[in-house]
Amino acid sequence: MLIRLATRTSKKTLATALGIALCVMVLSGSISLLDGLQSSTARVADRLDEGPMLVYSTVPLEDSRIDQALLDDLGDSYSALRTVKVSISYGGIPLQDTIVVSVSNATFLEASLAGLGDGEIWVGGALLASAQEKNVTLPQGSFLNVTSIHTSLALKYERVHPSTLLPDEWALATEETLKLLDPSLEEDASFLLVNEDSADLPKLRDAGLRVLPTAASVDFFRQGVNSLQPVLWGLAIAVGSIIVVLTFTLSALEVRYRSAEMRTLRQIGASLRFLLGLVLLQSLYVAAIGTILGLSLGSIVTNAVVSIAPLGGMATFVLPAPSIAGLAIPAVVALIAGAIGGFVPAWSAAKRTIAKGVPSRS
Amino acid sequence: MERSKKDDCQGGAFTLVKRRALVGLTLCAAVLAASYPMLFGLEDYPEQIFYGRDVYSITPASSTATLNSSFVASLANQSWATAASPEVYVLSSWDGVPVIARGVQLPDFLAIEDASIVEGGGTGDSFVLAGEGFASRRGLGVDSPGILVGSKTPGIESVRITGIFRSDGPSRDEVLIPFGLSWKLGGAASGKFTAVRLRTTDPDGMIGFLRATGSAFAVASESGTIYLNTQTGGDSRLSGLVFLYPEIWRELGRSYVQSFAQQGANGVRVVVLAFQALITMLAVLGIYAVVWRATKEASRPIGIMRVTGASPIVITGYLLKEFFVLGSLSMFIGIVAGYAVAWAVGSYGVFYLFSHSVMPRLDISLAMITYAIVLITTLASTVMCVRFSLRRPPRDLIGAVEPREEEIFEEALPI
Repeated sequence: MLIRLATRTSKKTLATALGIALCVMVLSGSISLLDGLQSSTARVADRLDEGPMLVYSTVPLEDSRIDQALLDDLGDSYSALRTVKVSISYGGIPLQDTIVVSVSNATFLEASLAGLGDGEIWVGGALLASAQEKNVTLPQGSFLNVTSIHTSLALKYERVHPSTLLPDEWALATEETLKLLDPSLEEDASFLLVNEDSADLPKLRDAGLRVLPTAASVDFFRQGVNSLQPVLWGLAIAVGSIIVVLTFTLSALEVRYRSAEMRTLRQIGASLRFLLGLVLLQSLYVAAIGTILGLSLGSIVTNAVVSIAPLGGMATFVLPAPSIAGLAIPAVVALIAGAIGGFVPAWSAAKRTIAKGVPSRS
Repeated sequence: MERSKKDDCQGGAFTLVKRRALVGLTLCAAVLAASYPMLFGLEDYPEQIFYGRDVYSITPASSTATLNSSFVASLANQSWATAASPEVYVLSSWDGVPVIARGVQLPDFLAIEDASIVEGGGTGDSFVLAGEGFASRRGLGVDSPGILVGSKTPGIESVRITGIFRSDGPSRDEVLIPFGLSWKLGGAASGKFTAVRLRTTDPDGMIGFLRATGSAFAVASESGTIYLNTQTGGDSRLSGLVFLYPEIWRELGRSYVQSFAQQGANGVRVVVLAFQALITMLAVLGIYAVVWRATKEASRPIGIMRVTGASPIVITGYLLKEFFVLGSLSMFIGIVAGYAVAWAVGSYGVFYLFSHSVMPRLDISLAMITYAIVLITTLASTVMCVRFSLRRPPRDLIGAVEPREEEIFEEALPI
């Protein structure tokens, strides 16, 4: 009997359900669009070239260290780079404080480093500029004095290194030369360049190393869209608060419509518990109809918005993405608001009925 | 029939509409007033970065047009040019955090941006200046180390902050670097600029000068974008194709990134527009519910007025007047509260989009639009609700008898 009474449907009930449906539609549509924007962007971004991944432990980059034990477990799709801070002088005249870098397992810089031999150094353009500033002539084949905190070596200046993805002012030397400049390096690396598709990247992240793409524009956009989420979630929460109030109001009005029935039921002996159960069930029933309708409308409207957008000159790859959160959150909000919106006025009405001394057998 | 003393004495000069019923109007106005500036601020985001207040941004609109040093010099030498700043924009990251690294000539940039260096400094081609906003957000100071990476082509630069600068514009969330570094990180040809930002006393003179060059330029400002010596538009279908056929991008190469960024920006815009529409619709629905309830609660006085001979027009006019006065007050409170929230969000830099804090658009015209939407909806709802009430017999209104209605389904569930 309780269910039969609670599920009677009038035009007003449908109007209330429609109001709740519009609220649910807004919240569900908003979440769906947000999820769609994020997932569509991520899917497209994943197909774009982000360059090799830079893997390092700390900044500045030259202070980064990666343990050799970790390198032993990696596949072949990486280059290990080692750095040493040095001062370079020529003929007793200091020219530049810089970094000398070596590349082993040169997956990425092989072409740029072809011809670099042990005992040689390829300098950056900044060193030549410094020499020019100090009126120092630096003939090709001359020996530069390269001093690290461990030792000092005379390295043959062969050429200015070609432009690579590394900083232009850094100098290049072979791995053997680097180990002479800094014996403490042993087999450790300073940082790595890893293929962006490498299966080793999760392992490196798990080891506490930082991983970032060397071509940032795609990641810039992907992170940018992710950063949009809190903004729009904030708005969704504001919308949600209105929905709670609105659903509460609609449910309360629905109960108000049926207050005469409640009084009658009390008079013929219905208990307070029965009445509360009835109203709560009525509210949940109306909220449930509204939720189902609203979730369907949300899907239709968001797809319509995205479909119509190109007509307004806004071609986009965003596809609304239905998600568990997009379905569950609006449903839970509507049902809770509906239950509260039914319970509070029902409790108040039932209490008032008793206070007025309406005869009851309970 | 139950009614409290409160129902009889509606209180004060307003006899039909209960003041507490208008709390909902305040809430709806507040939500609209808080969300509109944020959403419009999101929409304004790209423009805020690339031109700024009273500043024109000149960018090449075809592959044949170039912005180089000699062009910038000839532009800056014109009598109507009061400040010119050639710039290179690099979508980079600072230790993995997205940031726009702007290649600039420091004095030119500081002049056009009305910016100043507040800590440290930089000279010639040797500087990395962080905007105050970015520095405080990342906890950076002078000599803080970091890594900047390339934009479209791979690049790594180990750098240290040489100074912090203060600006009221979006550049406060950016990093300034010398041109040499920006060309390397941006993968651009040396000597070419992404844009020239210009302040001028004679916009028409500037347009005439650019038109006379015969090269295709886009000139963007607060009043919109105009294209010179070219047709507008590009292939906006590209991203859709790539989305459907992912292998295509390899054929397209890195130039596809630009199209991706454009369509991604469109995606943000679509979501923002959808939010605007949905929030407006929700507010309209909320206002209607508030008015509906307030009108229902005013049934008894409406019935008494009918009995004492008041015509429907008089009653409608009475309700409209009350909703206008009380509604305006509640809307004013709501709009002020909403703007205060939006202002706080902007001032404290709570929300970020890409690398920039979202600056809400707080102007009087937007407040007036919000007010107009809420007021028109309120008055329209009033007319609709009161018409429904006036169709009922005064006796039912006075007795607060609910309109009789047949159930459309005796049993909704077959139980």
